[in-house]
Amino acid sequence: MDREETLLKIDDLYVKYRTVDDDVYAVNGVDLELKRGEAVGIVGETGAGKTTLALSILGLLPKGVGEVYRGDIYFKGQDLLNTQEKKMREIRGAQISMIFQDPMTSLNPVFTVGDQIAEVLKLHGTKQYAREQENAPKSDRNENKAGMSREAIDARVDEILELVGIESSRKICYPHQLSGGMKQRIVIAMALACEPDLLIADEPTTALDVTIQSQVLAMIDDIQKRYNTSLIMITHDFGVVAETCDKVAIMYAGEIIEYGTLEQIFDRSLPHHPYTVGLFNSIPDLTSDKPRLEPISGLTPDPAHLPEGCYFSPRCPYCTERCTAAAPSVTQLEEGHIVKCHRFSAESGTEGR
Amino acid sequence: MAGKAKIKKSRGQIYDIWRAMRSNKLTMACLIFVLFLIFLAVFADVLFNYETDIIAQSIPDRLQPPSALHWFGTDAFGRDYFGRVVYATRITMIIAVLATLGGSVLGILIGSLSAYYGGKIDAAIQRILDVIISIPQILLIICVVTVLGGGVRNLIIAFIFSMTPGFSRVVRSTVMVTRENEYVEAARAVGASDLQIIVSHLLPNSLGPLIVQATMSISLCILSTAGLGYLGLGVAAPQPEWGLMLSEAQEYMRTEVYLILFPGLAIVLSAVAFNLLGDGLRDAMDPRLRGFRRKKRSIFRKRREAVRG
Amino acid sequence: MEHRLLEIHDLVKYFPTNAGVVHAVDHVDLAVDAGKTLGVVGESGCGKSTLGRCLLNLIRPTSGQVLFEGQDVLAKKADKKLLKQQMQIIFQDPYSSLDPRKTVFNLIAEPLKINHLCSSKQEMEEKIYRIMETVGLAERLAGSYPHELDGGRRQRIGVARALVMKPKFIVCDEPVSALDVSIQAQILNLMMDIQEELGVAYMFITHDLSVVRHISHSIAVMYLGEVVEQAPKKELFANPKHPYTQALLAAVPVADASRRNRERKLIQGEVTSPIDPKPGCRFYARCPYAEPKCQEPTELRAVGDGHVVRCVRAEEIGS
Repeated sequence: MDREETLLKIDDLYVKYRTVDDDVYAVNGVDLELKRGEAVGIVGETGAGKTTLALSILGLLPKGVGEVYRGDIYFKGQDLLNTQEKKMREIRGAQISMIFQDPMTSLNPVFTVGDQIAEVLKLHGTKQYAREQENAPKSDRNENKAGMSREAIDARVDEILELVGIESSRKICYPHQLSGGMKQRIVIAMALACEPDLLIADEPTTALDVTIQSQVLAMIDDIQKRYNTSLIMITHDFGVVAETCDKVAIMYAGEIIEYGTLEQIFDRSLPHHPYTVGLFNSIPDLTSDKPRLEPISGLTPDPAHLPEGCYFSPRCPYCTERCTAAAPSVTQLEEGHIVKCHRFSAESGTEGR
Repeated sequence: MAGKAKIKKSRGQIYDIWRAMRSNKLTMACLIFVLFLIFLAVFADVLFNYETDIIAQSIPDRLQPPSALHWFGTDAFGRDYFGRVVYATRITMIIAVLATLGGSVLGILIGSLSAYYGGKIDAAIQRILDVIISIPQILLIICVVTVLGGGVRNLIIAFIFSMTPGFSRVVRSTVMVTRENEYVEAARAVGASDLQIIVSHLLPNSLGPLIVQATMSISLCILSTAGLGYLGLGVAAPQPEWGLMLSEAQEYMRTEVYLILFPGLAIVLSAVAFNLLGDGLRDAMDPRLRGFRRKKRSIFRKRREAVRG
Repeated sequence: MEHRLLEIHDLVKYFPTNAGVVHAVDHVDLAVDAGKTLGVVGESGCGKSTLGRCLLNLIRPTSGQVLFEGQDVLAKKADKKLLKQQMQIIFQDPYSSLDPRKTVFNLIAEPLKINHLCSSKQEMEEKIYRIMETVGLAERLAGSYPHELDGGRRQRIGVARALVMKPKFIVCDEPVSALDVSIQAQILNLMMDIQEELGVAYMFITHDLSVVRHISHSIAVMYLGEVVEQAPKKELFANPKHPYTQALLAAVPVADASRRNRERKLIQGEVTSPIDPKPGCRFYARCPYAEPKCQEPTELRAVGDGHVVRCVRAEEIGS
């Protein structure tokens, strides 16, 4: 497989939620490109539009409320926003799958975990299986075109459980018999069962303990590299990004305000968006002593009433007249490192931080 | 919510509730109607003389249709029907309100103690209540009334007896849910006693379901009183009572429709008004629901606009 | 020697369940100095929250002693009212720890009213507005309800409620874990400022090692109800002795680009059950250094200045 092949392309995406009082602008002009086998971390605080972005890729925005009103999403060249719901169902789970934050509510308590993984396979089958079927002599072929044979499903369930580090004998367990970490592994197993091309993980480890979190992150990283799966890791934790991602996008008020490689974003000697700097100054560090944290003043803006100009301007220490007058455009700082901030745009020249 | 916090000064919880209620037209209409009922109940004695206006018979005037003199006409004994319908409000309201008050006070006591202390006390109380609840309510009331005899006082006792288990169930379950909230522990951490916690946190937060239950009980009492009166088990004859009046009017149903119409309307309207008022109150008392009601209404408005084109 | 504000001696809390006895807090000895912060770190189910609640008698401990300025908090004849004022708690969840039906003003007024600390309405108002200013809540928010405010402001109310009685000691039970990073930093700064200004001592309970490192003077690590290691902050981070502490430190994701391709040192398995634990080291099943002698009961022992650890092999495996 070609590593440079573009798997997902999001082009100038705008999403709003219609409530009766106001329109809530959740995503405001996001451009994102994801190559096969690449892992992108999307970092932002509550209400930055991270989850909305993920849901719009999957076409799972709440009907009648959430709406993409501008922009396009292409997955393997296919326009996802104009794809029939029936087609989308085939893509969801099979080619793009999502891991949700809370493993407790993502699993159905009345079915065994094995059955729940099997269910996904019954719906979609695996590519591996499809290839085998094509090559098999006609007489051996499984008549049921949509699904796999019972034995094949059983074998795949065992295989995938092993992959996420759970003994296959535990497939007869019900969700409540497993710990939180194990449940999250099962959720990941379900997401990976059909060998998706793209895995979207929405805060997959936030509900877990540190030692379990590191196990799960290591597992995701390992699987992602081994199967060349593309990954979108949504999180608020820079640490999680550092463990699993190649590229990082920082989101604020529905925009990607900075994008670059892991090294570019985390290198504090390079210039950055003031919000990124603020975030880094806000987190207590495990390896060095900061006498005092420097939090960003103020609050994230109400997405129903976004400020004029740059959305970060009311909280920005470098705010000028220009910032409140017009929204900044994208500026490239170096190859692959872009920032949406007036401080770096052409007119004022590039200033370091 | 975030970003532009409203400038707001507290003017007390009661004021906030009132303001929220005022914005709901249906609730306000029901409130006005209920106040009107209460007014009638309180002043029925002043408006009419019981001996001469309500129970004195005048055969020559019997079965007159509604007119300027007799707004609701007269009944088979020539009594002014308007006076009787209004006076019946007094009797019904006394029964319904006192019974509900008694039932809810007892229910709150039993329910909150049961929920707060739990364990064996809870188990014992709940088993006793189970027995009472397992008997159909109307049957229970009839039993009590048969044993004690009819009359307003005994009806009230019967209603209290049959309603207390329901109230204490509601109070118990909501208090048990509320008790698990961290703010109860937070109150204990600042030194609040059990009683203080029950009074200032548990009950206010359990009030929503309780109010719905109470208003439902009032309508149920109104309906049951009428039902028992109709069966001849409730308020005794010359006293006016809607159910009793319906039963008396039965004979003339085909010819004098108004004899059925007015008491019937009174029953339906008062029962509905109490129910809707309860719903409105519950919404108004929960600060978290106050904002939403505005939205809900405007959804209806949008729909109406959509229908009109 | 610094002024000892709070001493915990041999504190035990067992919860009997149908499956067996849960050893939530098992023979814990700790001390907090006046005006200092003791961090208590551990994963979910290690008993750290139960410990904090036992100190305030919100949960009645099975046995043990808690001395606050020499006075036994758990004793029957203890001056409960006074102790309640001196020892306070800040809760994790600013959503559920505030009564949704009360305004900000009434929420902060509650401790004052309950303890009859104000002689007049005016005095109460004055106190409340002063404390609101201290925690950075604008006066105009006094009439708001908690659900109208964001998480950071709600947690400020929690801090105000704890502070309004001028306590000397506050148990902080994960006060920032439910908050966004930038808000978390604001609250941490606020808490540190308050300590500096008013000399309050904290017991800071958290699962977040970076937060605990930032705010604490000394740190205790808990695992399945036991304190497995305690040391001054610098010493603990520079020189962790217990394998569990080391594993915790290795597991924290750090915002550092060079970490992506490092070799990961992971501890295997999950936290074992706190129900009827076997004697001996509780970390035995997951410990990479386990050997037969670890199955014998172990005690906390000193390995340095103020540094205690519960591991028989501490010297061999340390650093």
